[in-house]
Amino acid sequence: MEMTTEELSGGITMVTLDNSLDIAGAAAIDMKMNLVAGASRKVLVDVQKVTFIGSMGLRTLIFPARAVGSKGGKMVVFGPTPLVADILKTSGLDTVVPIFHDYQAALDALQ
Amino acid sequence: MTELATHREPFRSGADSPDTLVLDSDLAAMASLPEWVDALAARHGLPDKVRFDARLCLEESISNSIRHGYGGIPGSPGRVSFAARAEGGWTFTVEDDAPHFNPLDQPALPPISPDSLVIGGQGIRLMRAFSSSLAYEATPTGNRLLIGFAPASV
Repeated sequence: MEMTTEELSGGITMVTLDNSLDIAGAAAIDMKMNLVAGASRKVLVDVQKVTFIGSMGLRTLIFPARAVGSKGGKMVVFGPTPLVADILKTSGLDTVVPIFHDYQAALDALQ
Repeated sequence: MTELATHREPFRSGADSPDTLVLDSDLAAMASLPEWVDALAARHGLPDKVRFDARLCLEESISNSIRHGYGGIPGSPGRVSFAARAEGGWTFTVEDDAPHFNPLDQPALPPISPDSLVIGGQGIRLMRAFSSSLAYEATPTGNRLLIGFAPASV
């Protein structure tokens, strides 16, 4: 699992995830995700290149989302494949972390 | 041969088949699972959704076995085997020799929500949602979970 971060205008931190958010993938980025959540109030997670997600991967998203939310911020997810989106919705994660398929809409949600 | 080794010997059965995967009770050993599922899906022409859903259900069931059944202690084997059903569809069988535990007896936990205080227990919810059938059998030495996928669900 590869994770890169980029600071966008408006105080938005964009996190790009690439590859599988399985047990190993989740373990590889848990700490980094929590660091991002601690440092930013607006987080956009680009999951276009995430090929798989399991329950541990869900935890990797939900904990930082709650951390950001607890300080009045917001985290959104952008661009899941249909198979990944199905898991995000079935788990209920989308009730805590809004999912967007349009990049501009994801940015607008954080303004 | 010790009694323990005798118990574990059956897991070696079929280990030379490409449709069987023997894994140690170590989460790190699960790194071989995606490649095994992908190769199996290519060999048997599984639809992409079945490949994806099977990987999800296997990751959840095997990690449960390792973490809860074996307490996260490496050194005990488990086995996953695959079969195409004569009537159509596919079955993955996950076996271990951990203490008896029927995951299907566990109460259904609610989905993640803004108000939920705990977010665990999603594994069994996802398995129920993304498989066509789940069946548990207690074996003389452990547990067997049969995870079915029907062509109609694709």
